[in-house]
Amino acid sequence: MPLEFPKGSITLDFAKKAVPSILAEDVEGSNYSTVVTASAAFAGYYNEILITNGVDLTLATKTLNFDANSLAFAAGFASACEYAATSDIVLHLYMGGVLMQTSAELPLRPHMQNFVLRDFKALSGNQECKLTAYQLTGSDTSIRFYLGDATSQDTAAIAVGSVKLS
Amino acid sequence: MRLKVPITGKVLEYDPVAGQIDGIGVVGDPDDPVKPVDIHLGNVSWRLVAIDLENDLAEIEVSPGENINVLKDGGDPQKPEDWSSRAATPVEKQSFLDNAKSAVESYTKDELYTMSKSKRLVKSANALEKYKMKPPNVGVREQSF
Repeated sequence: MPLEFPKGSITLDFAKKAVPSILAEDVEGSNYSTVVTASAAFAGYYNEILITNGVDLTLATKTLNFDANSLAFAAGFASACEYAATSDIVLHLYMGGVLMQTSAELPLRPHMQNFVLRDFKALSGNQECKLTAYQLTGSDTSIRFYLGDATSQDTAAIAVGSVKLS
Repeated sequence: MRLKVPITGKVLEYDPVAGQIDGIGVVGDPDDPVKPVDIHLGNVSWRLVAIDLENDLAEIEVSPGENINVLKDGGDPQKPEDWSSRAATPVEKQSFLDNAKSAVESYTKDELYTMSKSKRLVKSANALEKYKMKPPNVGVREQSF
């Protein structure tokens, strides 16, 4: 997929400053869900994780050391639903300490839905990209992932890559 | 649909070069990220378009949720079997957008901070000065992947 840049492209803006604008690979990496805490009562069926109202629950995170003037791309994936009928869970994609995207509400149990959040941001130095689950209304509630057994990984992941000017 | 929402969190720096690349340029504190205040926008998704550090506002591009949860007639909300999920109709999608717009534009910035119990954005004078010096064409992302 061709890489597109915001209005006032890199080529144009940096050409004005006589800076070479050749793109090169920088860093890339990915991570699966860091949450593997299947309840024994539900083992083999699903995993439920309590989300505290107003607090991000990290599902997957990746920290990389980006070159200066890098344009990073992050994509977070989750297949999940919401346990309760009275709260509203969404997914957040953070890049470099900024909330870049929020998903629509997760469906109510037992209806699973796949979500992909993706965005780009200029990052340099050691920076974290992460996918979280968040709920704002009602009381604390749980996000649900379906699992094959008690040791299965939750169905959430993040992938990060970047290009730089060389 | 675009909305301007007050932001909270802590700005570590404003990077003019990064701003030229991504239209944002703001580096936030991972432990106190820069984000819109906690107001419930309903069944919509959104992506960040711009951050206005002078007025502490984020401009976001809002899209309606694709699906809607529906309770069967006479169903018990506490019983999962009484719920279904289906694709939202165009009318429902417009309702999602209208609700989000109302949630933001029915209130002043001060009221949104108060209602959401969100603290004001923390930013250094240095970051603000750098932001004010950015070229006029920097600061809004018109394209997405």
